[in-house]
Amino acid sequence: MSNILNKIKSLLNSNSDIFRPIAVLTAICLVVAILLSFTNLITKDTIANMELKASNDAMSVLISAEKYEKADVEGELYIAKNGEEVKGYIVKTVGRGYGGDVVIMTAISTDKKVMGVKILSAADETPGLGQNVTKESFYSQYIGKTENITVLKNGANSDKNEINAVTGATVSSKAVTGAVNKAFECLNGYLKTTQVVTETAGEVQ
Amino acid sequence: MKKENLKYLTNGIIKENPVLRLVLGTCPTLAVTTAAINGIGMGVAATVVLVGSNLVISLLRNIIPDKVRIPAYITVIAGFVTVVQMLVKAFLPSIDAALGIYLPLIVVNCIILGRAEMFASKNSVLPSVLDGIGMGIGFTATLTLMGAIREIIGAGTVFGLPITAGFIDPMIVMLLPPGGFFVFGILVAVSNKLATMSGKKAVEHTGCGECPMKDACKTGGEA
Repeated sequence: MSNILNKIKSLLNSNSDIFRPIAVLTAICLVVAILLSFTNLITKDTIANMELKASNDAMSVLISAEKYEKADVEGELYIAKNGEEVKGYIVKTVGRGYGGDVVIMTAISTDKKVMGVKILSAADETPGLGQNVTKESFYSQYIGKTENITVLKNGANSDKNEINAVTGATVSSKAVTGAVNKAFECLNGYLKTTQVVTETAGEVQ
Repeated sequence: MKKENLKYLTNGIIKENPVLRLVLGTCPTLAVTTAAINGIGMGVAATVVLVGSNLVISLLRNIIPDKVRIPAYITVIAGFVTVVQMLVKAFLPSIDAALGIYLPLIVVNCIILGRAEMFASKNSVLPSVLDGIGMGIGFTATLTLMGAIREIIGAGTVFGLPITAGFIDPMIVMLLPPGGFFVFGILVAVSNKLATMSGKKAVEHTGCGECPMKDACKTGGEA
């Protein structure tokens, strides 16, 4: 044992070419790691607060309410409430676009109609074509629509559950529509669980 | 300011412009220049990091052993970027909204690593900082120019203000990746022409030989 230790010692002393690079690199990594954890410590609360505020601000554009409660369900569903009164639901979903993910927020009323759609990110879509889904003239089409919206190239009947695709960007339009439909699926899943809960609660009584 | 120091500062702007003369940082150049304002954003963010990393690396230049200098530089640069990113996010939200998406891209910006290897590791602190500022200005100016050209042809606007938008149909291809290559190629050609006209050498493409890391790598730039 002591033999091995001595060997290591002599190796370190005789060959600083091996030891020094290891020591310096370890020291640099250690200092950087300490700096990073320290910065994280002083900034993480501020950053979390700001992200919460940004998300609440985005939701208040869709439905103005006193608070937004995150529902206990698969997917990101928030219940907009004034006191105990439910004003509507906001669901954050992702659609598969032409260049990447399209992230949107859909506001759905208690009678299951779209109250508004907000495109959070469509940065991977083609500029000048697919990115036109971020224009109000496109996403305002969803208002008043309900589950299973279909996309037509043009000539959508506004009385039916149809919307017009952006010219030359059917894929991006379908991505947004798919995400809106997914929002309804998520809401249905949530409503089903709450129904089950109230029913079983009734049986117990 | 001494004449020598002034030279370090102006070097990066025209004579050794990082994008057009050193052909460094090509990836962010092609990727973010879809609008003039993006060019400024990326340029300013890169300048801040470049000055900081040049400063730290020139301070550490006698401590870092040669064998591990590349991992040491990368650790310092990545650490620096992440600290700046967290601080900006927490305390300067308006700057974060404008520059936030560019900061993570800077870790892999080879101008930063290139200047650490080519300049800051061999020079003292003041010249290194000046070199960082000069290279940063050169990078920002080139990216803004490229962004403006692509924006005016591709969208008919400059900095979001309509120029030809009403009467000329924009050519969307200029905003797509091919447009980036078109403009980049033409700008390099123009800068080569200007350089040869004023009696300097054009940029020569020697494969691996151009890489600032060529001495560290096995082939030594002979590939």
